[in-house]
Amino acid sequence: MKKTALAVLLSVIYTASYTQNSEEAQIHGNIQTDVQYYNPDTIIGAPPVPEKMLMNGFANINFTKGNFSAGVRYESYLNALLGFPEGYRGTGIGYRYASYTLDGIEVTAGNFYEQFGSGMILRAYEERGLGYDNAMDGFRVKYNPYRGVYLKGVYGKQRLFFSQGPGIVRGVDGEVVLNELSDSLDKLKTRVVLGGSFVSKYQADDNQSLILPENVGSYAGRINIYRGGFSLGGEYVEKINDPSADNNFIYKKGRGLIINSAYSMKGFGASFTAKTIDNMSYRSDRNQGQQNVFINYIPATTKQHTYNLPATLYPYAVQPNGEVAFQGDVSYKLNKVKKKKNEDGTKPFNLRKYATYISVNWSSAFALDSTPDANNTVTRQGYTTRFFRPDKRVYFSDFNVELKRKLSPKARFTYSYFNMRYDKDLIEGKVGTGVVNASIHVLDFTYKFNSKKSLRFEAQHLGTNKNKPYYKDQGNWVTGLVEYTISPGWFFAVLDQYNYGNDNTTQRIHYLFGSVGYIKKANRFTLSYGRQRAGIFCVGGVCRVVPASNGITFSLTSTF
Amino acid sequence: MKNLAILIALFAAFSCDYVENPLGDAIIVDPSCVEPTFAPNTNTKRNVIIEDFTGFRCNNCPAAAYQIDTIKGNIGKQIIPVAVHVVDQFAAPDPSKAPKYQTDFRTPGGTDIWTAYGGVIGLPSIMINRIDTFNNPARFQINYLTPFNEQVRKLIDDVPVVNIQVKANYIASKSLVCAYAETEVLSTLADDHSIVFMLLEDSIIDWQLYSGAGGYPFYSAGDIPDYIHKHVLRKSMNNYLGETIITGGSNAVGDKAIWPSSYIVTESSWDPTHFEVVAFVYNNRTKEIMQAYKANVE
Repeated sequence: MKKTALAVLLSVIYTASYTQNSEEAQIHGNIQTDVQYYNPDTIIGAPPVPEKMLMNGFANINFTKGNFSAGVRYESYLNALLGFPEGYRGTGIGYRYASYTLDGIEVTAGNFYEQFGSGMILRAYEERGLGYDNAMDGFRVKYNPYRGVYLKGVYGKQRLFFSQGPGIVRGVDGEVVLNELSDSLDKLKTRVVLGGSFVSKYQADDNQSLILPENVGSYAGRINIYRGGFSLGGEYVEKINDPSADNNFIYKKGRGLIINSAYSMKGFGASFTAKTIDNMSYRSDRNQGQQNVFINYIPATTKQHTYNLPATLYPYAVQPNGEVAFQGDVSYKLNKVKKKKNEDGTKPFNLRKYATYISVNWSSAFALDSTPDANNTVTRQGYTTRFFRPDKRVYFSDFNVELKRKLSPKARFTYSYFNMRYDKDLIEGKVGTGVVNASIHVLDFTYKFNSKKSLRFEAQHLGTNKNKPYYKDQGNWVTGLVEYTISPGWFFAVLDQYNYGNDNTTQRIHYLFGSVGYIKKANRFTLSYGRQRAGIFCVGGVCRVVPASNGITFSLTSTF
Repeated sequence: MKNLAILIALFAAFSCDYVENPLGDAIIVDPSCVEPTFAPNTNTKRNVIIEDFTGFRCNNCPAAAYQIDTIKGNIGKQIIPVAVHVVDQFAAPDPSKAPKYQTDFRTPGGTDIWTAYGGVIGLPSIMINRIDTFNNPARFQINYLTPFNEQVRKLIDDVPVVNIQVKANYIASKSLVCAYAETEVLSTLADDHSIVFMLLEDSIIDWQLYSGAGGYPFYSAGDIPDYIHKHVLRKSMNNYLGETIITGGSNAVGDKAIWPSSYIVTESSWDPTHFEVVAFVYNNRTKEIMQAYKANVE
């Protein structure tokens, strides 16, 4: 079947390149391979791996010629790296498509990714690091019937590893950019975009105890307004009864609202987001768990961190079953100030010789203020809740400040402070842990020896609050990183994480990890060795647990 | 534009199924049932439900049943076996083999459990307290050839987070099974939890196909006419998902409540003297069974 699909695709590509010879054909793509050799390490809890060595790899090959494009992604999981979803096993074509655009219509057959609005009603996307791929497989049509009017229609099934989920997803989305409707509107400073979507899934009723809805529809409306540096937008979505394993098969309708606002001017930016989500898990297989066959995506309203300790120990995973969340962000550039030389010709001390960048971010996610339905046995409505009303229970909060500036033409630093509250029971599904309160300091210092060579240090410290009512968890951590770069070809890095505050003295472990990388034109090779701590890896509020491991990793990425 | 709006409205109208009565005509609790009184629950141990996906035309299934029986014999009443007959190929009656294999042990609730948690490995396979043992797709199932004695033993010394005790009786004049479970929260629970009642019938004599390997030593390979089918699931009394009884974060240690369930037996071939009621409390999010109890129906 897969061979047939590949053969058909190649013949389509060949035919297209033969018949469309007026424009130059192009083939481009990229390849990535990650191979890890595992050592069992009982101290950190790294399990023995029967295969000793595991490999993830993929190659994207895309063909374009004029208005036609087609491509495949060949994927291998032999077997999947530890922590990757176990469903990825073997080798095959994970993605293939052909697309053509003519007279305002774009038609795609095969796999495609798509998003309606903010994604709360439909978002098919791939996040390779998470092993997340809910690509649609079917048909998509995009049509631009009038100036400023954009329509989309999708119809297909969703990818579930190397197979498909049982549900059928169909949806339409329309967007009108009001300013594009006429020349007079186009001259206005205020720009307004309106949009609306409808999505429905079909899955047969496979339950003999409950009467399940086989067609579950959802609908959304959105508006975005822009004027100068100011923007304000929002989207509201509702979903009809959708009993599933995620919501314990209740028939309550789902709903969600997100409001974004932002203002920016030279040297200053501020944004604020508010969101409420109530029973909005929406999958094309009601019995699935983990990150499988989600039709929609709940946008994250927390800042995604990049430094090791704040990014991997206590990151927040969005709760599709219900949350009320807020985020505010302010960034400011303190401009440099030039001072005249002293009368004796010496340079005066100048604290503001270089510009300073300051950013402050705060986010919080609360439980829904809800009341269990006393008659749930009969109604299966689960609970009642007041719209946009947060409960006292805080799932997560994060206050962080970043200060960035140059010290000299060759040296610069970034200092960051984070204070997090993390409901471990809820976010990690533990029992009897509690809320962790962590304070994290990160100092990042870079020194450039010359235009090619630079040295970067990172020092990080995480301390958990030991006082009640907080849960100490693993206690304090310290992390150090040294990275030496010789541009454009080489980099060397050594990282050590040490859990010196663990109450269990046998767990006061150093996680030493070294890596060497070489980049030559479009190819990048990385070799690394050492211990990797168990943690949580999140992208955009979607997370997966990464188990501890010890071993050698080789990575190759290449583009053409 | 107008035509487009009409098209979308039609699409929306025809692609939604609103369900007003999710349970259909299910009976929740019969008014003839009388709530019993419970003595203080002094249990300090966690009980373990072993659900055995099985079928009477599955020749390897006696081996799984024997392994479970052996574990129960070694550990005792902390082990609660439940035999769930599923999969048409192995559990559906076969008219071509009459009079053999004519009883239908399959149940809607059992099929729901298989659909929701199993359905991947094949028969026989087992679940231990529905712990998410493997990653998706075979998340809860363990193949019977995998020794699972150690996994059971890891659980029996756990301190339970919730306690449960059950009383059940049978009112012959109404063919009515009444069951009551008393739950007590022993630890603060972050997640919602539900209670499920199951009606079992123990020691049913009927046909069983046997490969001759791994099962009870006193059976011979082939078609066994008088095989003893133990702890067979007859009915998911409050459907396989049960009812949410604990709201995460809002419970207190020591909270007690009594939950009723009932079922009118319509099958004359069932033997009420062999009835058992199993009730368990599970975590709605992880699906793990946190505590269980089995009571004989009096």
